Amino acid sequence: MRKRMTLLMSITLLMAMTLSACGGNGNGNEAQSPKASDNSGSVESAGSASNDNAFTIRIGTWFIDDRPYMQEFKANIEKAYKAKYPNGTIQWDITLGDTYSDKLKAELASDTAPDVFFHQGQTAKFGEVGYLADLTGEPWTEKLNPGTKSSYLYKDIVYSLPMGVASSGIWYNKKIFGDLGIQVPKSWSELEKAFSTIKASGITPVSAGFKDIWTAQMTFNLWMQPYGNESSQTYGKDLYEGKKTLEGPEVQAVMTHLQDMVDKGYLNKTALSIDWPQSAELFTSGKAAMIVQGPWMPGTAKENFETKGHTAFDLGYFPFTTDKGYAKLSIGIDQSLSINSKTKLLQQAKDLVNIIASPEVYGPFNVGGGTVPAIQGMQLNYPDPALNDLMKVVEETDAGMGYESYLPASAMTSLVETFTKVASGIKFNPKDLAEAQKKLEKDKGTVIVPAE
Amino acid sequence: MNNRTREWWTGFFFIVPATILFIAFVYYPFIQSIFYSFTEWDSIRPAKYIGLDNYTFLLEDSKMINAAKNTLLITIFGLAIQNPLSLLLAVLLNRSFRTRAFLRTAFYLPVVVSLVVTSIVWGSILQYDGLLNGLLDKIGLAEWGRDWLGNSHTVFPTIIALTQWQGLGYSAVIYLAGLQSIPQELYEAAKIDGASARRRFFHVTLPLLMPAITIVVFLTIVGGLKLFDIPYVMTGGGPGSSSYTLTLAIYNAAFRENTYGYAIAAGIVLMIFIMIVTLIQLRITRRREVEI
Repeated sequence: MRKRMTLLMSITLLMAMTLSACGGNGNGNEAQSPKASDNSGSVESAGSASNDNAFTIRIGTWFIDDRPYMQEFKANIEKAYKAKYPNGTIQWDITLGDTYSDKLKAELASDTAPDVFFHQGQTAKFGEVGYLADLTGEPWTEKLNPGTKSSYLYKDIVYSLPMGVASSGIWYNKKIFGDLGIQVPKSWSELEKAFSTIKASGITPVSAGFKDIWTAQMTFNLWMQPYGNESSQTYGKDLYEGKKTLEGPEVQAVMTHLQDMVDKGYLNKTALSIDWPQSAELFTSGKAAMIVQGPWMPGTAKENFETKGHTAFDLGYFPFTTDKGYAKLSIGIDQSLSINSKTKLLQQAKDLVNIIASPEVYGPFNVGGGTVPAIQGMQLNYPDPALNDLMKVVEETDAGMGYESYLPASAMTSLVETFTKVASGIKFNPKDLAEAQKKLEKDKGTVIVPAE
Repeated sequence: MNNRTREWWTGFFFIVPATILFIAFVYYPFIQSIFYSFTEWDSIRPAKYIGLDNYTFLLEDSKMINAAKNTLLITIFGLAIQNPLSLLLAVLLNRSFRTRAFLRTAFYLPVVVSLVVTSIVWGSILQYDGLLNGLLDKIGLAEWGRDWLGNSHTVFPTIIALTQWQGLGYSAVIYLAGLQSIPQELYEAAKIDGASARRRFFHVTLPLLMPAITIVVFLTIVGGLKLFDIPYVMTGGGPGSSSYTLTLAIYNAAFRENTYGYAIAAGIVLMIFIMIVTLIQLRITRRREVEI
């Protein structure tokens, strides 16, 4: 009995000690470090890693999948890093999809985040709380496009490497446009005429896959950008400062036009129940003439032509325009790369980021994704003619950071919900926008005003 | 140490690990979340105390109010439609007939299959060019066809129908177990006394089935009030906010809108509401339970 009691007590004490170590403060976490090194590597070689010592460096990402240019990106990084650190190993922490962001936040809060990680639009927030290492002074920072400042700078410190400037817009089937004698629309009224001609020929004018909320949000934001900025060049800031409201004529114009499109049958009837790959198939099969998507669309179309048996056609690109023909592109940074401020492999992490910023790695990544390098001076050759179309429009059109960077996520969600409600066939009621405005006022504190 | 003390200590050491785990992973986060419900917190930057603002905004938030209405509607439908239907089903499946075993399995199957899987299957059936509209087209009712989940008018009734279908088998199995625990002698005695089938049901079956009714009503209320997975997988709450339930609205407030403080406040209100409703329900139904 006594032996059993001793055993019981020992187990209980052991468990209590383990639990208290889990719930401890920073010191407690450090005590756990050697065990964590099996996975992280960064701690394994804490402070002592050099070209001679073996180490593993972790990199977190959500977007590296089986696409050939993604695999090429990964291979290019590994090859260049091996040349720099023969004893260094890169451990890829890949979590595809939305969960990555939640996982990363939890890892950062618990000091278990990767040494280097990609994120989406979190530079200011992560920078403010000290999660990111200062990258000011790295060779590529001098060459960053100032137009993308808000994606890499917080309080004059460079915290991120923007991986490329994505410009989304309307992709169209050049064959359908050619067959029906439609010129590239230069204003909303011209676009409406094009919708009408296409619809009359029995083809769906626009393919939408709003089951994926991000496609609805992207469409709405691209549409809002010219309408908002036509009324004020600082539309986003005006909303934030209360000089404009989300119940104003700018948002109402977009919602009314959408309702008009729905009423006239210019969107596919399945718009609310199919996701983005299904909408892309509808477009590449030739059943729909246009699709609102990002620069990855030509690559996806090529893949669909090869694998789905769709007849290949040339893609063209044009931006959203207002009734008066004003266009303003929304510049978006899909991926930013930062270093964990708590990494024990700071130099190795900086070298990894520098390798990723090198033309040999950064260039092909931008070409593959159809994005414009945020590092200036890189001359890239885009093999897909559709991407050259896009680049030409980007060069010729006014562009700026999206107005939405001044809005809290809750107000954005509310706007997109009104947008999908109208897309589902419910008549637009301007009163529905009051909720978005209320959320903007309530959650303004969650917004970090973008660097100008 | 005498035997009694030794036993006490043994018992104590047995419950300590579970108690520590419970405190660490249930009570501590719960108490912490009460604090966060009074703050503006995005889970990244430090929480900022804002008093009762999160709670007062709940009353002005049309999305939350709409989600609360939807949630109540699902719960009421569960109680008013699914409950009596599952009791009827159980009574039928309690009789002896040739396909009884097959039908019992068939009705219970939706419970066994993952909700996410059934949601995806139903999603493809209910699409505009899905099986249901194809069937309507074949029987000459093409004009009835619509995008069942993409239409603000039809999406929520569709989700209600799916939740009823999904929960029917589970409630029926509980009722079936209750029915099978009623001694046959009671029915025989009632028959000898000249009681009709209707009287036997209301005066023998129903009172003795009260423990099962208590459980089913409890599970229906709780299940309805915290319904999440079906709307999450099938519609994400849309189109617009027409198919939001409270738990989905809370989830989105936290993980999509990064307003964690607000989401926690809504979660606490929902928890209190569930506690009150279920306590009242248990009081009412337990009072009517009869022991054999």
